[in-house]
Amino acid sequence: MLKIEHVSKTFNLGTINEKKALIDINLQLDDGDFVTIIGGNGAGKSTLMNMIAGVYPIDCGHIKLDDKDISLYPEYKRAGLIGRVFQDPMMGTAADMQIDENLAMAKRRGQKRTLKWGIKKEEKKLYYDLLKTLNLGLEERMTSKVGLLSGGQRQALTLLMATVTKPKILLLDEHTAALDPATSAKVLLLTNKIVTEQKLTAMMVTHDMQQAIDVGNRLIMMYNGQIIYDVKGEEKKKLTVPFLLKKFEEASGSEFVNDRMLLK
Amino acid sequence: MSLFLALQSATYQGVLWGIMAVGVYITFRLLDIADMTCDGSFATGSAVCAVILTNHGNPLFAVLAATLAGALAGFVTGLLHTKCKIPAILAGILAQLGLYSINLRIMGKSNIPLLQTESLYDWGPMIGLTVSQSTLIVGVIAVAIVIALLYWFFGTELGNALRATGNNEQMVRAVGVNTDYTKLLGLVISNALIALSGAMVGQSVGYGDVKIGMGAIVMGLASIVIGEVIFGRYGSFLKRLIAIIVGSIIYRIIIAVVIQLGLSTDDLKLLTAFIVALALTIPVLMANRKQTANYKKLTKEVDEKNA
Repeated sequence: MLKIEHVSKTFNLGTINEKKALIDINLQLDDGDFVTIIGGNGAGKSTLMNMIAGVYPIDCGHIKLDDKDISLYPEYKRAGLIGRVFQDPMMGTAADMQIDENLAMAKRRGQKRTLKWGIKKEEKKLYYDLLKTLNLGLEERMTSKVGLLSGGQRQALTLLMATVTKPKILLLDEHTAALDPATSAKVLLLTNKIVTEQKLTAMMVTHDMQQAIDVGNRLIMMYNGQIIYDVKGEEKKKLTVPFLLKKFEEASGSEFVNDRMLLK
Repeated sequence: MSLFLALQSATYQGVLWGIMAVGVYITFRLLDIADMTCDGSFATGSAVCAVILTNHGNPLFAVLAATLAGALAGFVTGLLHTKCKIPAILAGILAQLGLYSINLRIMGKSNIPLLQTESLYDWGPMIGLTVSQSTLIVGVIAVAIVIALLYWFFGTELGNALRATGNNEQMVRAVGVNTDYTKLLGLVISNALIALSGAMVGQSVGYGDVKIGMGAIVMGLASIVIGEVIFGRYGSFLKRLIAIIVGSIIYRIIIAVVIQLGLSTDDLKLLTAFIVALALTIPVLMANRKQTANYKKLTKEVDEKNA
């Protein structure tokens, strides 16, 4: 269970470029929640993800995972609890290393690295079976360098890596945004499958409103560093894109709806 | 005949200096850091070794102590880079500068001759080999041990994390590894090897000198890129390590040949710089030419088809 209590973050505090990215955020996720997060550019969606993952320190407040306060843990220490997939398909994998080596590193997420072999024989069978579920033929190319894969393949691999050891929470930061529509749909399908099968708690940032409605059991809308709308369960299923747009216009007042929000 | 002798000496020198090039490879290619500590830690290796030998220490012990001293130098650079957040190149330059004074302190003067002391290569003449031959044998054994250890290490969990760090730091942190630690470790291993090489070279040339490491990083780069030009950049790890040693031997042979042809030793550094620049440029030019040639060929086909 993830609990965020009174978390704020200001970038470039005290300078002319001061930017309040998150303002007194309070959020509680129950186990098994699959939350989609929408909002315009600069709303604080990615910042929220990065705060949970520990990429930057928060200014104040508490982030608790399973009642453990991780607010001051450095990024690599939190990684034991958190699986992540980034927007850039290049970010989640090491290009010059083999597919199985990447998976082996991810398998050891949160464990101390020792002088044991980096990849054991019996693991290779596990990775073969896991890769097979992707239907991309990667199971036959386990010793290929990841740099040779396409963006979609790398993103699918990153998703496997993020979940090969079950995370307390899975953070997906626009992980389908850089992919072509067909690949994007495939990766999303895979995401849904993994989250459901493993009963993961997950957060997914997206710019695609229809996707945000279709996927998951809860939806959060952010604006100017705040959560302005939070809907769950049956109520969420009834949402429509025009309703969300209206909701967004109400919040942003006279401002126009951002172009990217309108896509689709 | 003198050319033959020169080539023989170039070969064992290439092997001894090759260990240094392997150290440079760990930071330059695996961690993606140009570590300037190199010149200093190489001299530290020769300095520590020289002091121990003149105090009648065991030559093997001298080499091991030098290796430890190099590891310590790498540790300092690593701390400056990871804990003090000083850019890697500057951290290395600071360490190199500081090491110059430290090396003088270690030796007490700028040069210690090692002509009367024991060395790892003394046994050759006793069993009817030349010193060149025994040096080559010792060098090859040392290289084999170093390569075997590195091959093992970079296959472990920790070694994998270190290799990935140079590739994608963000990913390494996301799988729960402290990248400060892997970078520090890489710098320690690299400089340990460089100092090891410094000690072995010092015993071979017969002196410890505060300036012996000058330009070492460039020579290391020369060996790496010559190896890459010949063997390619994408072989297995083992093949790449061997390519560096071969690159180092070829570099020494080039130097030996041009000196035989009458080049002044004063011009050696310029020549080295030239070789590295050339070796780095050749792959770029070749790729460009290939690209252009390919374009011309394919465009011609398309044009003819549509004419």
